Amino acid sequence: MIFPGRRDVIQKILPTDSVALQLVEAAGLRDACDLDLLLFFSRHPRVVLSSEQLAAYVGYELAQVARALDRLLETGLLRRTLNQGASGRMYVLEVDSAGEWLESLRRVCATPDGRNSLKALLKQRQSQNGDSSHRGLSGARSS
Amino acid sequence: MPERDLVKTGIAGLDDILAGGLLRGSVVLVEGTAGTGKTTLGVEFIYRGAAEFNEPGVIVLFEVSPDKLVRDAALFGWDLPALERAGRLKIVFTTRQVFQQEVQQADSLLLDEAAAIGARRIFVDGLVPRTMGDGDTRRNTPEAFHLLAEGLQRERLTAILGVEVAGFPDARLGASLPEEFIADTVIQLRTEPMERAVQRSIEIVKARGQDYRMGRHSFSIVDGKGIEVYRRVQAPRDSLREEAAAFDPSTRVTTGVPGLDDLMGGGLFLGSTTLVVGITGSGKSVMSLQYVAEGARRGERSIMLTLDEPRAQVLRNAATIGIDLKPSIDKGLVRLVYDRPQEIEIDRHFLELEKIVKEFRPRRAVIDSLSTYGSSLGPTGRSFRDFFHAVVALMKEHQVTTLYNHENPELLGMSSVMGPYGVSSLVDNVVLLNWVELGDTFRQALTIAKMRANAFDRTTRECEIVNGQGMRVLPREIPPGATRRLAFWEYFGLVARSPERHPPSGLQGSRQ
Repeated sequence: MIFPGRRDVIQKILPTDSVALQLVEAAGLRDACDLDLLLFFSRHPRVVLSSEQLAAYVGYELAQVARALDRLLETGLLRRTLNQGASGRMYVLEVDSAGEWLESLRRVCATPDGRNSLKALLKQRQSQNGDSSHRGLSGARSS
Repeated sequence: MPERDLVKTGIAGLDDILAGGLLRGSVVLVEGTAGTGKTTLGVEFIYRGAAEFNEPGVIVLFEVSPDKLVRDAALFGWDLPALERAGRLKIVFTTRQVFQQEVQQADSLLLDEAAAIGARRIFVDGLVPRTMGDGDTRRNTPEAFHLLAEGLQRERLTAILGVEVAGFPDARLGASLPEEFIADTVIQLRTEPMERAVQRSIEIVKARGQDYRMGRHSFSIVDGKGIEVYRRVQAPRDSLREEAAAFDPSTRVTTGVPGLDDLMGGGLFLGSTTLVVGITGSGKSVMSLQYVAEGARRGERSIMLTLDEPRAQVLRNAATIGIDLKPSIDKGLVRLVYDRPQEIEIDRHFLELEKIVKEFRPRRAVIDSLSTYGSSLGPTGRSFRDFFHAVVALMKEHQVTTLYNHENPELLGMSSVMGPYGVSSLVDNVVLLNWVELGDTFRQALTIAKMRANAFDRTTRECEIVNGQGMRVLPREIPPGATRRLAFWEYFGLVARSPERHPPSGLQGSRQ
């Protein structure tokens, strides 16, 4: 746990909270799809699924999920095994390289308020950066 | 005969009814409706394999998310993440469709993952027969399932496949799932209503190439432990038990009731079965306590299994007749076992009794009372008789001389020994305890009605229970001046409920 002093109140985090910023940066999150995909893999650390099935599970457009997957793969948090001709690919979350922040992130997102606070922060950061290539929450089919 | 390669499931009691375990490489269907315990059984199979038998395993999930599975497993003390970190377990989440295609491929990702940890076991949770095939009809199912079984067999994985069913068809109609014909072993889990309670049962309906115990056995899901299977009490035991099922006519066991051993020619035979029958208050429990106390006095171990009175009550009852059982309990000579009679699970109950007998190795036992078992199991059907038969066989196998108390509802005399519970033919000895009404007084009567392989005194004798002293059988002849009442021998028809006094000049000589 990287925020031991916040153990009891970490789920009441606000978008303006410095802890929220630390978590987003530690995880390298860019948008809401990144967050939801990472949370999905934290609950399912070893999956064999197609990209379409992954998109259906997390509730985002396929293109968004593909970009989020690429980012997780680039950071080394996720390992993907390809198999020619197979309908699914194996994704394994490298929990050891995720570090303690992943547990904190899961605790924050265990409530709708915590999860929405992080999403609001991500949206705010996207606006500030003028990052139009990521549709973030606006692109979500559901959240 | 070649030695078979059996895979122990490690699940308490399951290997016993599987006659040792599953054949390696078997494809096992575990069928059941929602909430019957399929996931728990499958996860325990994998956990025990990885943790206790050095057999790494893979769990494949379609519906339950792995983190919930890990959380639920922790309730049983199974640390799945630790096994994952140790490279002995992998939990894979996928869809049925992908899984189906995966295991059919020569270079399957999933099977590669299994091979990477040297997996010997796999549990696939949540197969649904209708969706196993490519289409949405059942007719594709057998072929698709056959391919799945082939894929698993290729890797020589012992596989448990949890299959969700809506219910079980009547076996007599032969409407089984097509998958059952392909699978090597089929296990069905049920929750069955018992009055207003529910009882879990497990039945092996098929086990290709191996022996198994047929019938529906009980099981429980126990917090902190996992699944415990209790072989049904009627299931045949090994032949040793039947061979040993005889009492020893050369050794006597004293009852501890003054005067009673004389009627029996010196006491009960070792390993014999004695039914003590009487209405409430007639002295059955008192006789039992004296029997146990006598054992302790002689340094013999005794168990007293009671459904009627909790341990504290038994101790208090004993104290009223001058018996302090506590020191004997502390010395390990006496063990009091109480089980609540409400909703008794008879298979579990019997298994626990069997464990106690094997571990504690008593020479004496008291079962108090058969009538309470009868109330729980019901007089109809074979449950009560089968249970009693199993207990008698168990006690004889271990040469435990056992008293079985039975409450007969008749206030005066008796018209039958066991009423609707027709088991008196299974016992060696029958002791009747009666009230007889003589004048304005109820007096206690004791009759030995049956004693196998032994000449015994068939006269009905008066007995008494004295506070602080317990029960004793009175001499047939009342000493002159001891009391103003007449001895029992001076009456006809005591137990037949119509005592009549002999004529004064009548059968005086018969008392000799």
